[in-house]
Amino acid sequence: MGFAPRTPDQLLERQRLGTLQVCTALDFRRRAASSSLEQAYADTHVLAAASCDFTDQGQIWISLGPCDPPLRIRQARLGGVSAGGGYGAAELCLPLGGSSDDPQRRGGIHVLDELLQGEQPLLELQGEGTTLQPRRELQTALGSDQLSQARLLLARGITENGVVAVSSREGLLASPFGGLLGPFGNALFNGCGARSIGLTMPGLHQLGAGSAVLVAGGRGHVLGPGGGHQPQTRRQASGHARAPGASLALSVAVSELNRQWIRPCWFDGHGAAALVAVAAPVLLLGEQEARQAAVPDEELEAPVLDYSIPRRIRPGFGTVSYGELMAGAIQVDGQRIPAAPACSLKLADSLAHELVMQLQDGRFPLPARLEPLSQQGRLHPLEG
Amino acid sequence: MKRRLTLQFPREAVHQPITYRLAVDYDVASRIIRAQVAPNQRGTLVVELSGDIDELDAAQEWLMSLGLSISSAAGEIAIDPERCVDCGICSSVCPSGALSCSTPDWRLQFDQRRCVVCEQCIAVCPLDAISLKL
Repeated sequence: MGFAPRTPDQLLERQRLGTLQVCTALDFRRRAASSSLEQAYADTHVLAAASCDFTDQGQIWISLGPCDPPLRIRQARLGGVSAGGGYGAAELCLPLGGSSDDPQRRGGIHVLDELLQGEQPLLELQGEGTTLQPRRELQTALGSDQLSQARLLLARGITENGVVAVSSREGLLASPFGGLLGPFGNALFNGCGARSIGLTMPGLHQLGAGSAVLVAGGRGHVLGPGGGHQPQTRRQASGHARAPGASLALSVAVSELNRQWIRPCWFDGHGAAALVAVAAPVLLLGEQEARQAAVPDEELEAPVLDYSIPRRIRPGFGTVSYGELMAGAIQVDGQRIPAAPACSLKLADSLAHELVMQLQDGRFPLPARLEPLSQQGRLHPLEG
Repeated sequence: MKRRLTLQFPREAVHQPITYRLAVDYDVASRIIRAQVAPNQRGTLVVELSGDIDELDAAQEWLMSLGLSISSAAGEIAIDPERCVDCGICSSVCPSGALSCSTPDWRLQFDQRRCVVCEQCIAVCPLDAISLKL
């Protein structure tokens, strides 16, 4: 049977004709395990991979229409959340997250959720008061239909791999993953393992600026390398990252978002954050793509890091397999630690199924990038 | 019999060796479900006491005489399915295994019979999906 090579154009033609065979990344692994990799490859052209992680690394960019008399924004609040001004006459920028000591326990994601529900949060603007833009104040209720343009920008929308967080400190440690019981009372992992985009497509090599991805149900696009992009990370022989690795920044129109796959949340001791599901198509163009996409959770690894040590480089305890993590316990330093996901595997799976349907119906384009993802990038330590 | 209590310590009572005195003076065994106690700070102890009913009553009176506020409201944990995203964070801090989230469907399961109402899940849920129903 072999692995007959395919080109993206052939797959595009199949999509046009309605003969494109698509399944989720998990289903492809099941097919490869139950029959053979060659058979699974022959029966499948494209995979839908997805993850659903918590993040506060993003912002909501809003462009407002002109008011009369005109106002040049200097300070702004939307729904009680401080929005950056000073971007011209009508641009707002809400941070997705919020500070840990906010008594209202709100961030930009909570305002976004209200807009998606059809509510009208209060907009409070203070203007600079120039000759051409003399207005100094404006207060009004702002509905989603009054937004000229609004986009959700995720600085780290897709990460190649996740991490496992533990705590060596006594008591409950507030972390961006959730509560960590110490010493070594529980382990929380993100990244979603084998169903994720980065562990189905190592290096995220089919994606780059301009690639279409499904962000919380809406068609978004890759902007380029994302926060913490480190493609030259340690890798397994199969090419899969042993650490977070490459990352992508994403953009999606707010009007496209579906509340089923984007939720506001709050982490004690950390602040507001969003849970966002993201899915992307993975083309099976030959044997290498098929072999990489078939690697099961048992052979994929994530690093275990001690989050109770507040240093730039956290102490690590090597790597553990996603097979162990999914089974509910890992071994660290000879100790058995219960493990649980700090991500939603269920929402990741439901968005992957949504992408399968959209790809089969021809409603979602196959990956076409304007430029490949940079293979350069590392974290430059910030001294001061 | 068993009795589950939530004890709120004023700052001046935190140094008291509560569980030791309960065992020695009242023959009451304490199973600490959750504790947040630090020197010179107000503290909270969720504890399950086991012993004879008269001794439990006497022990409770003694605790109140120390200035502790005692709550024994028989609440139960409630999960809002609309808010819950089945992330599993709560299951990782659940001491009794009442909450679990596992393969194949990764849907959060809650076994009320195993729940000791320690309320730890409420504190760690980032979606505010878990509450105490009184």
